[in-house]
Amino acid sequence: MKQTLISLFTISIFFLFNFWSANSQTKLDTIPFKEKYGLRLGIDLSKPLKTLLEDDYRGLEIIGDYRIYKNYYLAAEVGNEEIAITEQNISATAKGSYIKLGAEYNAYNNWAGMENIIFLGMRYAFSTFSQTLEEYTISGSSQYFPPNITEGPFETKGLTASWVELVAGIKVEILNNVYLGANVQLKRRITQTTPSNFDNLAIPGFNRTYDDSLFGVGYSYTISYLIPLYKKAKN
Amino acid sequence: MLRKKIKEFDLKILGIGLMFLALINFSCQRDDICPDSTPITPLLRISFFDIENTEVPKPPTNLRVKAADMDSIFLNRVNLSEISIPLKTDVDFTEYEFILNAQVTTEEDSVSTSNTDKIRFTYARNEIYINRACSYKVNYVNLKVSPQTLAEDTDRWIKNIVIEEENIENETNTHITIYH
Repeated sequence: MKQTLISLFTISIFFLFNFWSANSQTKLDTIPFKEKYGLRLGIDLSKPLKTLLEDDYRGLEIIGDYRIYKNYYLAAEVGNEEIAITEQNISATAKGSYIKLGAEYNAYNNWAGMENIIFLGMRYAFSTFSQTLEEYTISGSSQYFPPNITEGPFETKGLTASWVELVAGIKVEILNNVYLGANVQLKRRITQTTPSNFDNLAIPGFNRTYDDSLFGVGYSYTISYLIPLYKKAKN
Repeated sequence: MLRKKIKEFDLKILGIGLMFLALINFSCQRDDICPDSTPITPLLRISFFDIENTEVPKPPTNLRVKAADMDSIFLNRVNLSEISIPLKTDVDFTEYEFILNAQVTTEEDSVSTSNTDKIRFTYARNEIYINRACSYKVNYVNLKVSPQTLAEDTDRWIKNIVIEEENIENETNTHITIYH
């Protein structure tokens, strides 16, 4: 234990010096590096991939962000999803579209010449969808009578939901102006309308819901292209 | 300057770390198993009392209970003053045979002292959504009981049936009292 602490300390010291020397180097650099400002557009790669691989999913999402000031970005996603949920005694499908609007802050201090992003962001999201009850089995404590299975589909249209999201992720420039990204989302529902005598088992954009919980989770793998509009010195 | 930067960086890492922790926590939450504590479709609770002394519980001797249209037996040769039986959730009635002094095999019943009384329970059904794990339950409303007289039945062992609760929503109280 003590040994690991010591080695941790030594490594930290080593890194600190590295950090410091790298820092001082950028300071010595007198040519100001100009950073790109513009509109970045792309898609969520995970959704078409899941569409191909999974039978119970179909979806597409277009993503975009616009750098407004230094490390601040406006960001948005628009998507359409069909999510099928199959539980032991019930199955349902959610189908609809959503939009997410918000902002991101780039917390990563790039070295000169690099424009990668480690970001934290927030979104307000709104979804309009339908919920279809496909099949259900009445729950009873006795197995004496054969199970009573009711088959649908019973579709409720015109449902809505809204929620806020915390997003954290990275965007790495792999080619000039081409970015690969990954992020995770923590969602908290604000409003939702549910079918009468039923619930939303999934919401497009929100993913599956949890009983007695307003929270949801999600992830994305993105590829995007930056359309540079103008350049500006870093400081 | 340097210290400030490290502090800032630490906070961000902490923030991202906390978020991942939250995600792991959520994925471990099981809500796909219906817990036993959740009330699902209730059983019909029947209490047996003495017709001569209506305050005294009286278990029927060797009672066999089976649905009229089922081959399998629900309860066999029990001596209980209180039983709970399921009602059908797909139709508005269930017919049960209550066989007093049931013998070990059904063949012996026809020649022995066993006594079969048939009761038809009619009701309306309300399907109520519980949650994703428990799906739906049925609550029965407006329960009615009609003894079905078998042509050859000259001595009915069930003397009187009283409906205590005509809406069956839980299993806390007796729904029906049978006097014999």
